[in-house]
This record gives sequence, C-alpha cells and structure tokens, in this order.
Amino acid sequence: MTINERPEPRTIKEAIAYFKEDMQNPIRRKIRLTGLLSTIASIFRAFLLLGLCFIILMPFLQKISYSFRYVTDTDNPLVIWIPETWSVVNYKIGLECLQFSTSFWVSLTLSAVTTVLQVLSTAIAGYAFARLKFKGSTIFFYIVLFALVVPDEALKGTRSLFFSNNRFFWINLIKLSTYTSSFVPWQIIRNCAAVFIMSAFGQGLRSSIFIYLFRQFFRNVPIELEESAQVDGATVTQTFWRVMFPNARGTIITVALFSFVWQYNDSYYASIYGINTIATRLANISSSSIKLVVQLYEEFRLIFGSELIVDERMVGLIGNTCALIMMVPLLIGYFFVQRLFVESIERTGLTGM
Amino acid sequence: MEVKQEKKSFFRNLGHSIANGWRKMRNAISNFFYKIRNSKFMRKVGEILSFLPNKIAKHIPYRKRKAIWGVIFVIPLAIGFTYFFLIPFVQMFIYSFSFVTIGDAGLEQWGVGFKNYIYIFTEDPNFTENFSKAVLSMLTDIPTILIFSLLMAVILNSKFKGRALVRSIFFVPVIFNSQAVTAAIANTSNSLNAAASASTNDLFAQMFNFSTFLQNAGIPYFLVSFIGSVSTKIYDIISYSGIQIIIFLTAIQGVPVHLYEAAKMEGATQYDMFWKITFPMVSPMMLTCAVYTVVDAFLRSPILSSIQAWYAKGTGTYGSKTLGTLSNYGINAAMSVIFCLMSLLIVAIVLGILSRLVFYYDD
Repeated sequence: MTINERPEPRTIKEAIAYFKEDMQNPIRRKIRLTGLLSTIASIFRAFLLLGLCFIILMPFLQKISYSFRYVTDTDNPLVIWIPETWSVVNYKIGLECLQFSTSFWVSLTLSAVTTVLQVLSTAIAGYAFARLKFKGSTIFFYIVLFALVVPDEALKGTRSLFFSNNRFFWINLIKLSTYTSSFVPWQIIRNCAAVFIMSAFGQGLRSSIFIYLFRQFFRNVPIELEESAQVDGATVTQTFWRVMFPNARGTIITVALFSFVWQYNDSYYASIYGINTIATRLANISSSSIKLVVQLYEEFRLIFGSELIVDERMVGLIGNTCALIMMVPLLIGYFFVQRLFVESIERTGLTGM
Repeated sequence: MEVKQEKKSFFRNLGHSIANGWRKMRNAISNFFYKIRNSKFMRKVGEILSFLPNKIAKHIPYRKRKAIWGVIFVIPLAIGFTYFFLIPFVQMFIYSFSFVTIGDAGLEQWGVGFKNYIYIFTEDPNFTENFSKAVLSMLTDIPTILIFSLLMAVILNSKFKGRALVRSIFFVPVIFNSQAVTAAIANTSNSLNAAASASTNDLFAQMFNFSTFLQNAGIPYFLVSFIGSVSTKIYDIISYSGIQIIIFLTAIQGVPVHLYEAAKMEGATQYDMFWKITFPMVSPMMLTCAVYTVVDAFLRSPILSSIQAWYAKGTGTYGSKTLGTLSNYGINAAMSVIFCLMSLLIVAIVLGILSRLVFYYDD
C-alpha cells in the first residue's frame, strides 16, 4: 500500500484520473482529505495574518500620510492616501511644539540610564528571591508582586504630595529634579536623578514584572551550575556576577528592551518630577499650546494669513505629526534590534506562576 | 563574480579587524586591572579589609551565608519598596479618611470619616458612571484578549513563509502602545478624525458592516452586538495583547517535543494536539496573562481620567459647603482606594475562576 509508487501527474487529466483512483481507496481518501484540510487551514491563516498585519500597520501609514498633508487636504474627498499639496510645515511646527532638540536628549538619557539601573536592580532582587532564600523571602516577593496590582496612576496624587513634603534619606526628590531650561548635560542628569534613584532601588516603571521574569529564569537554571562554582571557591557575589548573570542573556535583553521602551513612552513618572521628556510634552499637548507655538513664528503666520486663526483641523494634523515624531526614533531603533527582540523572546525561560 | 567576492571579503576583513581590535583592547584593559589587583600593595589592602569578614564567615555555614547574602541583595529593594510604595500606599488610606489641603503652613489635614467616600458615590457626577463602564468593558476584554492572544501565539508558532516578518510586525503595537500618544491624539485630533471619517472611513464602514448581515441571518441581537464591538475594537485588542502573545509564545516553545511526537504516533490530529497537549501545558500562563490583562485594562480605564480630573481641578463643592479655593486631596485618595480595592477584587475573582482550568505538569 505505498503511496509514492506512481509518478507525479503531468497533465490535469492525469491528476483527475489519480483523484478518481484515490477516491476508491479508503486510506488514500483519508490522506487526500487531510491534505485538503491543511491547505485550507494555511490559506485561512494567510488571510488572517495579512488582515491583522494590515490592521496593525494601517494607522501608522495613515499617520504618515496625514503628516505630509497641507491643511486643505484634510477634508478633501479626493485625497485618501497621497496628499495633493505636499508640505513639511506640520513637522516644523511639531518639532517646535515638542521642543524636540532638547527633549529628545532628555528622553534618551533617561531611558538609557534607567534601563541599565533597572536591569541590575531587578536581576539582583530576582536572584535573591530565586536562590538566596531567607525567612520570609517568598512572602516579601508576593508583596512586591502585589504592587503590580496597585496602579501607579492611582498613587500619583499621594505620591507627589508625599515626596514634596518628605525626604528620601537627605534628598528632596521633587526639589532635586526641578526643571531648568538650560540645556547642559549635568542639568539633564540632575533633572532625571529622581527617576534614576527610584529605578536603582527597584521601584522603577513596572519593576515588579521584571523581578518576576528574573526570578522565573533563575529558578530554572540547573542548581549544578551554582554548586560547581561554589566548589571552585566562588563567593555568592562571584557566583551571581560571573555565572548566573551572564547566563540570563535572553532575559536581560527582554527586560532591557521593555524597560527602555516603557520608559521612553512613559509620561507618568516623568510628570511627577517635572522631567521634560518627549512623552510628557506630547501628553500635555493641546490645541491652545499648538496655537501658541504657531503664533510665535512669523514663518507660520504667513501661512495662516494675517488673522492668525489656527484651524482645528490644523491642530489635529499637528497632534498627529507630533505622535509620529515621537514614534520615529523608537521605530528606527526597533528596526535594528527587532531580530534580537524576537529571538530573546524565544529564549526567555518562562514557566507557570 | 570575482570582483563581488573581493568586495565581500573586504567587508568581512573589515569586520574581523574591528572585532580583533575590540578584543585586543578588552584584553589589555582586563590585563591592566588584573595586574593592579594582583600587585603586592592591593593584596595587602585586600587582606586587611577581608580580615574581619573572613573571621566571621568561617564560623557560618555556606547555606546560612547564602541567606545573609539574600538579605543584603534584597535590602535596596526593601528600602525602595517601603519609601516609594508602602508609605504612600498607607498614606493614601489615611488621606482617604481625611480632609487634606495645602494651606499657608504647608500640608493641613483633619479626619472626616467616610465623608469622602459618600461624596464620591452620591455627588460626584462622573465617577460611578466611569466605574461601571470600566468594570463592564473588562468583562468583555479579558476573555477576548486571552483567547485572541492564545490563538495568535499558536499561529505565530507554526512554520510558514515570512514568519519572521509577521512576528516583527506583531510586536510593533507593544512598542507603540503609549499613553502619551493616545492622550495627544485624543486632545487634538477630534476634528481631524471627523473630517477623515467623512472622506475615507466610509469605505471601511461599508466593507465591515457585518452586523446587519448577521442579524438577517437570524443570529440573536446580543451576540451580534458583542461581535460588532469586538470587531470594531480589533486594533485595540491587538495592541493590548502584545505581551500576552509573547508570554504564550514562550510557554508553547517550552512544551517538551516528545509529547507531540508521542501524540503523532498515536494518530492524533493537530486539533487534538492543541486541546490535549498545548492548552493544558500553557494553562498556567493563563493566570499570569489574566492578571496582566486586568491590571493593564484598569490602567486604561476612564476611572483614572476622573481621578486625574479631580486632582487637576482640586476645587469644588463638598457636602453642602462650597470649598472655594481650598482643594481636598482626600477625595482623590478615596477614589484611588476604591480603584485599588476593585482591581484587587477582580484579580481575585479571575484567579479563582481560572485556577480550576490550570494543569500543572511535573516532568
């Protein structure tokens, strides 16, 4: 009963003849049926994935298309994707509204330094919870996880009241990070210092998730690895730093990427301390602030005529463009690390809760 | 051909030389530090410094030393946790039972009992409405996001052409799922959306108008409206389920291959294998995903906007009195307390329901 005895069909007639022959035989009929089902399934999958990819990419493409439009193109029924009159005015005003030249560097330093601090602090805590158990460590771990359920936004009011009236050791965090408009590197660092302190003490943005991820990974590393290091005379810190931490490469990449992206997109922590990142500027953008910027510049005044009436449609266009401007650096970064990201997701050793 | 090869080898050589240079530099640096560490002076210093710790450590067994190191490793987290989370959290409870305002002499507060809570539920115009909306939307969101992300994880795990591209596209919403972007677009582009929907979205509205078709086909109204709400929210669902897809994907890849091999030998189909192997093996991750979904959904809910609105406004009427310029942060705190308790309750309910489905596999 071998199936592959006959040669491949060359003409349609031959194929139909084979098909008829197969229908006579119950086993071959079954094989035909499963083959048919799998092709149908793959076609269905292709449709589904194409559709979903389209849905994901469409708003992005739409934003790009909007950003190059002139005001008159917004309600022009002839324009769907490609604008009739191209212009980069939206970008000019958008960059001005976001104060991109300074806020981008603030965002970049903030996210980069917090990423490093967060990876280190959460890895240490995760390792302690996974392997260096002491009395009450599991309970403490669950309390830390509980912090995940309480949203940061709900704590915002109390936190900012509390921080402005109390000190962390000797530092008043709110006073430390008061915003100064001068653009000097150490000013930026001082501006972001409060967030750095928080993430160094394991309370950065969603640190509990990262602690959970690290703990999950370190729990699954074979104990023999650690024991052999111990036999070779390594102390606990050496075991962590030389053996366990380098092994957690996949988890480190995942955590670092998420931490960077979330910090970059976050406007909550930054707004407590008044840090001037792109995200906070974007979150605070409104029609009145856009109008203010437009009115400040002669160049734009010429565009909108002498009466200085900034159209609501114009405001919408600029808001859209600002969002795009914020996304673009991340998109470029994602383009480079995308492969690393997808691979690291596969390597992250996750198991049940 | 030869020219091309030369070019290739040139780039390869360049890469190699850069890598070699980097390696040499790293070696030189590490050698330098090694020499410093092993110099006589540094050894003496090390001996002096480690004299006392070594003497103490000799009397402690390794296991106990590990526990001590555990405490030392956790101390920064404990400090941060108490200062940045626990104290504000407890403070929030205290504030919620008191009238809090910033007067001339700094922070002033006095106890008012349950008045803040009574105010929220009886007089605040938006809170109860937003609250019920949030809970209702969560009831539909959790199952759809869980099922969708499991389905997508299974599909993304199967082998097909262009898988890498599709995967990288699927994680784009994870990266661009930003509160700031949504806020900016909500603040500015109402009119733009209206203008756009007049010109472009008509096409899509007509294309996706399944609901009348389904109703004519005799499917009950509530089902049709549910499907309609899901299909209009499909972009939101995709962008909120990114991390869940990642978690499920890693879990599926962690399933031992020999289980599938054995099932294939027994003649199981793909469908059987999904329900009998993949689903039970992945089920512990359902808990994590569900908790994450609930927390994430609460973060996006309209309650937060009403908390924020109160915080920003700060003034209003309180009971029968008008506050004037005095602002009561106590109401803000009370809203936050209700919010936290509600999210805890929902997490507990979801965990209670899902933990019956969960299957733990011991290898």
